[in-house]
Amino acid sequence: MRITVEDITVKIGKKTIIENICANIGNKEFVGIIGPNGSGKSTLLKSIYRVIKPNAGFITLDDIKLDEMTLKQSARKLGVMTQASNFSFDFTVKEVTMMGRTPHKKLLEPDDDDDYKIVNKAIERVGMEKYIDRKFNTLSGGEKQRVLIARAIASQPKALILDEPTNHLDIHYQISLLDLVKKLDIEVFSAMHDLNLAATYCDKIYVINEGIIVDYGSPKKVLTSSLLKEVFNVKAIIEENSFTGKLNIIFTGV
Amino acid sequence: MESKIKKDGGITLGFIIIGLLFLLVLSIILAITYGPVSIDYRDVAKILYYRIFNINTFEAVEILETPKTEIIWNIRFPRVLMGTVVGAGLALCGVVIQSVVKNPLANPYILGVSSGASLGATSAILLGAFSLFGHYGVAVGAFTGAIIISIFVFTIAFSGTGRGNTIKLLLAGMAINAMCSAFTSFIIYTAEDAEGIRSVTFWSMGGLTSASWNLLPIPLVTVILGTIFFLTQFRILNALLVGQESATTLGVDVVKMRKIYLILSALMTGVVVSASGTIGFVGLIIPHCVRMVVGSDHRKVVPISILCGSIFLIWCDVAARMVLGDVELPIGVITGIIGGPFFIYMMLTKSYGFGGD
Repeated sequence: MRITVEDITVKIGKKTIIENICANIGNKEFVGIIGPNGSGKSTLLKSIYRVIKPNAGFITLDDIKLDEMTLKQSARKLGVMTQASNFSFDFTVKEVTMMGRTPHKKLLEPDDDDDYKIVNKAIERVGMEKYIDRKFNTLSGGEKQRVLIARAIASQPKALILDEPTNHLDIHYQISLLDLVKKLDIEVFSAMHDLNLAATYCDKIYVINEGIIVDYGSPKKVLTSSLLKEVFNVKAIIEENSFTGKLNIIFTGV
Repeated sequence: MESKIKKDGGITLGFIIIGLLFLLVLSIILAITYGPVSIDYRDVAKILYYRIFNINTFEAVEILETPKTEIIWNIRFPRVLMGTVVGAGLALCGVVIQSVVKNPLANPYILGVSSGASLGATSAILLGAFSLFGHYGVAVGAFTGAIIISIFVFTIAFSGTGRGNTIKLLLAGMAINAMCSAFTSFIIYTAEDAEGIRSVTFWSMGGLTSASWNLLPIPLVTVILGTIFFLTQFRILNALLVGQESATTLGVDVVKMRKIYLILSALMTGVVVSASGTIGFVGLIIPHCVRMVVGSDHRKVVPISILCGSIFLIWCDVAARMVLGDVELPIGVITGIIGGPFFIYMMLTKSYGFGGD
């Protein structure tokens, strides 16, 4: 599903958080967004998943404006994974994953065999099948993150938004999560912290700084030492790995 | 591999509900046997059966003409039914409010309903307001107070910036509660009507003494409608409990649903409280106890809490009638005495976090 961001601006109070942002996610690409803390990555993603309403501009899913869809309609198309936090009341892994079915269900409709199959499969895909009856709040940060991915998968989205997906995950689960998401064969728009992972997994990268998109393109085009110096204020050597053909970023100082 | 996740929702839940329904009917029958005149439970069952299904056999007519029938049908049965309705209503509102404000300390009274109702009832009893409603003056006064005060609380919570976050609602409720209590205390303090003061005290602790067939229909219908509505809302209640952001991404219009749920809860609590006085604790402890046992999933929490609330209140009312012999205790005294320690026991023995981090 194509996600189009048309010229959106978000202000909180008098402060402009992001300004005139345009973005295009389509062709089943994995699109990353990178930028320093407070640059507006999350605000942009939140505008797409409708927690924040932009002050100007609009967002479309397959050419339909978000404003013309109910929350339920857009939730059926767009899966979202945010950073895990504790719930104030405890649910089991199974119950949390089953919540992914919420947008597909009518008022009184019970969970049917299909729902259970979908939820089962989602939990297996993230490798949490041994934990189905565990309480969510008793899981480690990484395990929580995997359950939230399972919830997003269980809603069978046509595109996925990931807000800092690999926080709290050890390296094995960072890579297996990104592999998993890549295999879903849908559009993914993800905030990325680790630039090496961004270089490896993203087809396209948006670079955002102080609320403005400063660069866009393939990792090789975007990730240059001058851009990293300018946006992140770090010195880095960037070379192409002859074995993988991907970029390696080696940080040498600030 | 395939059926690792069982459809436990269906079958187990069905058994639990049927079991609780059975317990509820049993409780209703047994509760009717208690009173100044003790009546055999078989007679209670027969009389209820004959009256409800309008049976006119010779045996039926004979037993229906005894004085027992009058006691059972016109005094104790409506009272026990009122207990059923009030218990169910308070427990249900407790579940909903805790989910809406995502706070385990919440109970149906945080919306200002109880203090508003107390103020209304006190004005009715001590100042003679609402006297044009005669016998129902206190109930009408309580309901009016409950609704006006909860409108106040909502207006404060949902105006200004931040469009109604739940902490603001809790704080607005506390502030308005404090003001109402102050007014109520002022009225009581300046009153000279000793009998009236006693009935205000009794009212504010809650009681089912005034239950009658005339008073029953409005709470009964309100609670039944509320029950039907909220039984359909389990997915949204679950989503609300995991937070505004997640609920939005699951397609739930959080702001709208919160408002609808709060208004319905306030109405339901208002109706219940005006029939029974402000019975404490039920709306707080029943949802928690149920969550401790079956978890947070509202597929289970909503129906089980409703049934447990009913059963709990029926037996508290029996205790209120029987403990002191011929003097009746306010039911709030019983719910507090039983509920508090039981709650602490559950807290200490179960690994339940109460929504803490």
